[in-house]
Order: sequence, then C-alpha cells, then structure tokens
Amino acid sequence: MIRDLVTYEFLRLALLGTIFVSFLAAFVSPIVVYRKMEFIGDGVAHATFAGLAIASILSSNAVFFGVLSSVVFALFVWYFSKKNRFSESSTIGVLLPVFMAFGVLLLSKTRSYTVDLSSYLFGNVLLINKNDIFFVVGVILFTVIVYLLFWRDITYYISDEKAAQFYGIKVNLISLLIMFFVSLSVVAAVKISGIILMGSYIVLPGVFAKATSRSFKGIIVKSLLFSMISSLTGFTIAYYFDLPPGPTIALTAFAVLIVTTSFKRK
Amino acid sequence: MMKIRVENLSVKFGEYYALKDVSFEIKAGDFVGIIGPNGAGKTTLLKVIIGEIRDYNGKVEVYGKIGYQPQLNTVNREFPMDVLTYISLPLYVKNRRFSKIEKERALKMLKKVGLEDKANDLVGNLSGGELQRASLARALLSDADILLLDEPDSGVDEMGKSTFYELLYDFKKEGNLTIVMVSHDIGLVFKECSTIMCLNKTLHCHGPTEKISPDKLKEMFGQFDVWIRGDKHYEIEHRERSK
Repeated sequence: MIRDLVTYEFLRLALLGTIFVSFLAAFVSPIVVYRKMEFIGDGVAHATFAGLAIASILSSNAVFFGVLSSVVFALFVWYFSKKNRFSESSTIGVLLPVFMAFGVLLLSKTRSYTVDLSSYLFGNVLLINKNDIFFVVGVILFTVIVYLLFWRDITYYISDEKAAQFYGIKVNLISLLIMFFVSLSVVAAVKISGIILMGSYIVLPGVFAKATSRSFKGIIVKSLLFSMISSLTGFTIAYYFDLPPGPTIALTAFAVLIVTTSFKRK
Repeated sequence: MMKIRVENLSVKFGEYYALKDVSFEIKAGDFVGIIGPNGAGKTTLLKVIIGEIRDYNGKVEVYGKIGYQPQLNTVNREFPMDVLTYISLPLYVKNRRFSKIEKERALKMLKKVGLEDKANDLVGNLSGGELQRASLARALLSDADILLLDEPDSGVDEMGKSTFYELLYDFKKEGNLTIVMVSHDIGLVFKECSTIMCLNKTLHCHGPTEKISPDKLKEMFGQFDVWIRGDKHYEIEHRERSK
C-alpha cells in the first residue's frame, strides 16, 4: 500500500481526503446526534445531489454547486422551522425528494447517467482531487473557528435552548452556523461516502461518543478517535480486498460501533 | 410598587386567539399563581412577558429584571453538562467567560439550594426535584427581582415540591422577589400563592387567594383537566392522560 501511495497521486489524495473528512465529521457528528438532526443530515446529503447534477451537466465545479444546493436546502429548513410554518422534519420530508428528483431528472439527460449516479449515491473516493482537499480543509477551519468562538454558546444551546435564548445566547445565530457547517461537511464527505451512506460520517461517530463519554470535550475526542480509526481501517480493507471504499468504511464504522458499545464503560 | 402591568393583551396564532383582552397588574412582593386548563394561554402569557412573543396587541410593561425558569422538559438531559456549568448560564452571558469570583458565587448558590455536593454531577443524573432547584439557582444567579416559573413542579415528587417551595419562600423574603408561577396543580397554587389568576384565553378572576374558592373555579372551568388537591390527585391525572 505504501508503495502505491508513493506512486499514485489519486491514492494519496483519496487517503488524505478520508483523513480530513473523518476529522471534520468528528466535530459535526456529536451536534447532529444531540440536536437530533440526523434527518437534516440525510436531507442535506440528498439536496447536494441536485447541485452535483447541475455541475455535471454544465461540466462545472461540483463543490460550488453542491454547496449552493445544500445551503439553499438548509436555509429553507432553518427558515420554515423558525417561522413555525411547518415542523423541521416535515420541511425536510417535503424538500428531500424535490431536490433528489430534480437531480435525477437533470442527470438522466447526461450520457454518463449510470456512472455519475452510482458515484454520487455510494461515493467514489478515487474521484477526490486537490480542490476537494482544499475545500475540506476550508470547512475544517470554519468549523474549528466556530467551535473555538462559540464553544460555551453551543453547549448551552444544546443543553437548554429555551433558557439559553432567554438569558442572551444568540440561538438563531448558533443554529444557523450549525446548519451551515453540517451542510458544508456533507458536501465535503459526499465523494467518499456518497449520499446514501452519509450517516456513517455524520451520525455514527456522535452515537459512539454519546454512548461512551461524560463530558462534551470527551465526546469530541472520542468522536475523533472513532471517526479516524473506522475510516482508516475501512479504507485499508477496501484497498487490500479491492472493495468500494464508501460502503466498506460505512460497514467498518458500524462494526466498530457495535463491538465498542457492547463493552462500553462510561 | 408595580412590577408587571398588562393592558388589553391579545395574542393570535392564525385565526385562533391564545389570549384575548387580558389586563392585570402585579405588585412587588406578590406571589402569583396562574392557573387554567391546557391551551388556556398560560405559557403564552409568560412568553409575552419575557419577550419571546413580540407579535401581540396591547401593552406589556415590566419594571425590574426577570429570571425565567422554563418547563423542566426543555432541558436536554442526555447532554453531558455538569450542574455548576448549567446554573452559571446567566453569569457566562454577562462576560462570555467564568471568573473565579463568579464560580464561587455559583457554588454559594448551589449550597443555598442544597446541591453543593452535586456541582460536578451531570444534569441528566439529577432527580426532578434537584433539577428544579438547579433551575431555580440559575434564575436567581441572573440577579432577577421578578421570577417567572413555568410549571416548575411537573415531574417532581411531593417531597421535592415541599423543599422547593420552602426555598422559594426563603429567597422571596431575602430578596423581596416577585414571583409569577404557572401551574397545573390548583391545590398547590392555593396553598403556596398569595394571589391567583384564573386564565382561559381571557382573565376569569384575579385576586387574593383567600377570596377565590376552589369550588368556584371548578364551576367556572367546567371540564378541568387538573384535579383539585386531594387523595392521589396526581396518580389520577396521569392515569387519565395515559388512557
């Protein structure tokens, strides 16, 4: 594997992308789990599909259009739930098939329909390029800065939103920032995990950390360990057994979760 | 001295009135219990007073600093936050950090509410009564002279309630607090509060506790979904609701 890593740039980029996305997911996942936003993550992932399809048709920047469609989706959800027009989950349930159907319709008009669809749905880590790496690093910086600036605000927001709002925490700003970095993380992870398997990155590390930690700092550390170990193990297994990395990483993460939480000690 | 003045307050959600033409005044040192059936507008009234609902008709004036205790079920008990951090929220918001002095102040407050040995425990491990006292400590750390409590006794056992109200009286005496409490438990309101407000969209009665009889209330509200304090009224209520 090391020889191939030295020889092939695409493999180095794939490994680097996997490491960075795992790092990013470790910060995002606990919030997704504690705020019960699993469905939003799924919705944003599906929304990304519309942007990716537009980029594919225009032969344009996939990251730009992916971000655009996921952010538009996230803003819709945020706006409608804040205005109490519809519940958050209803809004996601309504918009998810709309964005997905839009993407499928657009892609159906391209020649590489089946190949593209499969890559977007289940991921293709070998498609990662340098721009993707820069993008992930950018999202990591954004997420880490938000964490550093608003660490306490985020903890109070998750712990008791009503009281946090009353005593002066800017809960609308915090929820918007969270929505943004969840959206950006989903776009960053989509080439590795694909839309369908996104949960392995944005849900599983948080679920593991929640089951095994008793402080928010501990949660982030354990989420980081889980995310890194399961991704790198999955990546290595995929390499040696010639398997698609996205599904292999997802199954590895699930196996690690089951094994570790069976012997958990808080 | 006036603490809260509400004049012709109406709140509408779509076509539906949550509150209609409500007017009252609350004086300094009052301990007001707001009672009414589900959907009577009790929590809406508190939300208007704290400024969470701004879309209303009428006039609301507050003279003082409010400390607010939302319903205990708004607390995410799965999230690992220690009790000291939990109660320190108003102190953090002031300076966006915790100084040593503030930490000591929070610890003193925990001692006052009888939770000094729980400072490092997780909020999720507290009993209903302990969480209620921790939330009270949090409200008091905001230097409030008006306390708004939204159903502070739901999910708390009788012993916990009794401890809570003893504490509340002590703090009331010590800081000349004005307390406004929403409750489902009529018996408790009659026992603890000096003034009662009966709300069901409009204000049906407002006056000193001794001038309002429970029988009159029952008559007024008809199919009331809470039970006059008596033998095991809580168990009856829960059984009825779980049907």
